[in-house]
Amino acid sequence: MTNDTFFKRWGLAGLMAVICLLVNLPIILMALNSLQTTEQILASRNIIPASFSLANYQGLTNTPFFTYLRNSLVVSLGATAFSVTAAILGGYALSRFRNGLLNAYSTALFAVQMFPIILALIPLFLLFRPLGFINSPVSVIIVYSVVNLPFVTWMARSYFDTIPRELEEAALIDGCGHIEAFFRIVLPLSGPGLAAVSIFAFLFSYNEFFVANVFLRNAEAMTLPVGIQMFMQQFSTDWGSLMAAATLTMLPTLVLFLFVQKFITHGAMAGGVKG
Amino acid sequence: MNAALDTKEASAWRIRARQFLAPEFVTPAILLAPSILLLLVVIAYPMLQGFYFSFTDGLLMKSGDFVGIANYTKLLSQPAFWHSLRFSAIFAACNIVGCYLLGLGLALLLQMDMPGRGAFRVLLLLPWIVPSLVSIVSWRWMVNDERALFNQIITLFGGDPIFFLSDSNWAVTIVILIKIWRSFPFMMLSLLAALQSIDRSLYEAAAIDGATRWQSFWNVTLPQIKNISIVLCLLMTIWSVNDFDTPWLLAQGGPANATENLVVLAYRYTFARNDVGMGAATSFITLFVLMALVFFLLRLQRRS
Amino acid sequence: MASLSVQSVKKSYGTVPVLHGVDVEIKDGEFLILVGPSGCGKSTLLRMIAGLESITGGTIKIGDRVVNDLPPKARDIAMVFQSYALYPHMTVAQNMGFSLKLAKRPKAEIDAAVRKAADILALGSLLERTPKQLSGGQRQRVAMGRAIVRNPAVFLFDEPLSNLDAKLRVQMRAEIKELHQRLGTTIVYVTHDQIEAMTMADRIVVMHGGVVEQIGRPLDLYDRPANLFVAGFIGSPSMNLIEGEANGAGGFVAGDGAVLPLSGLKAPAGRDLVLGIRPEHLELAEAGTPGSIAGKVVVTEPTGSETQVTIRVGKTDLLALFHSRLDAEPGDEIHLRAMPSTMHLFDKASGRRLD
Ligand SMILES: Nc1ncnc2c1ncn2[C@@H]1O[C@H](COP(=O)(O)OP(=O)(O)OP(=O)(O)O)[C@@H](O)[C@H]1O
Ligand SMILES: [Mg+2]
Repeated sequence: MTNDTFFKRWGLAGLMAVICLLVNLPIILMALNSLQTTEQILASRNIIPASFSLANYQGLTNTPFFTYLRNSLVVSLGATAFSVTAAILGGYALSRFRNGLLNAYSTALFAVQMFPIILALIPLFLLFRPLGFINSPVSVIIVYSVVNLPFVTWMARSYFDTIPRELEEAALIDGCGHIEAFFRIVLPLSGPGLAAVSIFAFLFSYNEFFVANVFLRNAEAMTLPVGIQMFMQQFSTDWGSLMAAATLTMLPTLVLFLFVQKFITHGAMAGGVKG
Repeated sequence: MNAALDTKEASAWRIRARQFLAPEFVTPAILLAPSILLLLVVIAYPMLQGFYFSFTDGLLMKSGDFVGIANYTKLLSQPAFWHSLRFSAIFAACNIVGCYLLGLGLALLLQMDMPGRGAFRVLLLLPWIVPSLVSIVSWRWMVNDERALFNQIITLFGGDPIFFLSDSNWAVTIVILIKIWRSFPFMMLSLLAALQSIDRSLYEAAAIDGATRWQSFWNVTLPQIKNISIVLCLLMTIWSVNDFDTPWLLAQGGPANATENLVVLAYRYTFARNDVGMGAATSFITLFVLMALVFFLLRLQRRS
Repeated sequence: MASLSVQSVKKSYGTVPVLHGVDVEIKDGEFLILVGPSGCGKSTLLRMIAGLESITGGTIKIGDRVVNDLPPKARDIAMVFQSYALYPHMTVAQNMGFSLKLAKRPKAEIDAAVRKAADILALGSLLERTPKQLSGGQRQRVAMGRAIVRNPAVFLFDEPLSNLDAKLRVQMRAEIKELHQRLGTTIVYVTHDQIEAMTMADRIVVMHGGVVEQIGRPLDLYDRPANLFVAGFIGSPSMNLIEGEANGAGGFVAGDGAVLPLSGLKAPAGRDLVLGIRPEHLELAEAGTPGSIAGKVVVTEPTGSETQVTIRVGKTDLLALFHSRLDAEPGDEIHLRAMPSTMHLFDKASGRRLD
């Protein structure tokens, strides 16, 4: 390597590091400030805190934060289970068959991807209320399953597409039925991809605000984004607790995302661009 | 003669019936059945019902009477509606331009050879992946009051602090900035994938033909990513118009209704003012606006 | 082991017919090869025998059993795919033993069967590897091993050698042939490589556009092609086919007026004919030899062991293949002769062989 390209590469890396820092500054500052008490924050307003304390996090135990967290997990896990099941079935059908019904289904998925969800939320609210689904995770789980459908289906499909049909045919000849061939050959081979699909379904559901905000209106039922939003409206000056709650909310998202980030192009491209 | 025709028709019908019963049709139909059911229950049926609601004067707790197009005419006569429409358009346009420039620039940078490239790519995706609520909390802290970070910087340079969230123009600016910050990573990621799929030999051919870097960007890169760019802009448009989280979480459409887009307006009508008819009408207008935009952009793409 | 009977089998995809009624009887223990140009329906027919494609019309029997509606696993067949289709998440041994495992055979029996097949194919040392860690030739062998382990009534091969390099292909050709002699199992083998077909098959089925053009032993197809398609398809380089008609005086008048001697071959006068002469059946002759014609050399292509020469007779180009070297420059005149027994006559309208 010549000196010239060496400097160029590292210079570029330095520039990118600065850009990454600037881009993520809001999150970084939030995380740092969550380690200061509200009094310290209001008093000093330093960008980098002078002293650290976990007081805000301890304080969260006196708030409904952990109720919200539990609700978020219930909702996200439920929606993930539904979405992934639908994605496996639909993705496999789209990958292996061609007919008018499948074309119509693809189009429907594309439409859902662009659909103004408010359009369905108003009637759904009226539909769900007599069923007792308002303030119940059921309503949100159902709607999330549909909202996630395009992305997870396309992503699952792109994994099934990488598994040659002939493997299944070989299994049929070796003595499997269609369903057994799917479970013994296709599913094990698409394992990592489907794990990624599940994590994305979880992330989307965990992060979502709008739908939850419409259906979950009492504090017992709220997920984290809705609950913290309430908190933000009511105690807009308690920055310490707010930032601690937000930081803690963000943590699972970041960790899960790091696991699946290398799969993301698959889904984004398959969904957004090819579709 | 007639009998012959009959049997011919009957056998054609039998062939068609067999096609529908063939495993190639039945298997995918079974696989899709649950999802299709879900789509019908959660999207199709509510949509039809919502369409009906937009012609009634129903309340959240009480279904209303048919009022014809009264909701629509009323809506079109309200300044608030026109304001929302204008804001939605500005919001979408600024978001697309901002995301595209930022996304393309960063994608081009990320395409170059450097140490730690994978890590930078991941880091730049974070604004997109964190929950909307978290991003709003973090931004609000930077613009909230006269001693927030932005104002500290402004005063450092001798300016007067700005009340970003209570000044209409500034609130609009900030909400657009946040939206760009939240959505450029998708643009960047998709453009990066598009850039990486361009055949290297095109650049080599251009270089042999004596093209400068700028010329090869202009003549090779841009034409190659043009179609994908149009599709991305289409998606961005739709997602911007549909966005509720950013304007609502930042200032609940305020100050006054400065950052109230069509979706927030529909939400307001329905859930704050208890007017299901107006809410449904507003959301349908949103859909019509979107469909017109999609149609227009697709025409644009087809023409090129 | 079993015979296999394909009786007026038809296939359509939607409304598009792909096979128009194919009849083939395959004897127990026979090595039958399907050849034909790309898209003629060879794979489709093979996959219908395997049960991977539905049968639009006709009957397929394995042994005495009609298998039309049986799933693949009930047909007692094994198949080797062009891409080998080895399960990537299983070792070689697991791949080979998968069918027995599905049949719930005891582990000892599976192991013994796998070991035996591995010995036959010299795979013993590779059993614990995964397909990714194998070379193309080794994968090919594992795919065959997987088929052998099942001990089926019929082996089906779909272009199994086309992903191998030329040298390996020759070697595997010999191995498959040896395997057939050793196991004696009925084999149906698809290829578009006619050398493979000629060297390995007991009988060859030549297909074209969804119909069978001819069925016969390899040398019969070479010596007596039943029609123009087979004449042009079998043999490499392919047969010279010259359109014209007999002049009633022992000569054949090509379309451009050049007269070729028929050397006693009987030809009906007064109808459009096609004369076929294989390049390797043209030989050099002294000027003036009875039954010889003169032509001009257009191109010579020596390959070392043989020389391909394009010779222009009148306005017709003939390809000749000599096993000796030829000292001729383009433009030189040379004289050619063909034995009457090596010439073929076809009716132009029907394409059928005459005699
Ligand atoms: N699933 C399908 N749907 C529609 N047409 C098909 C399908 N599969 C094959 N065909 C058509 O059937 C014909 C025969 O195909 P087939 O695969 O049997 O050809 P082949 O003789 O094996 O050719 P090759 O040597 O290229 O493998 C082709 O024209 C092909 O286009
Ligand atoms: Mg084939």
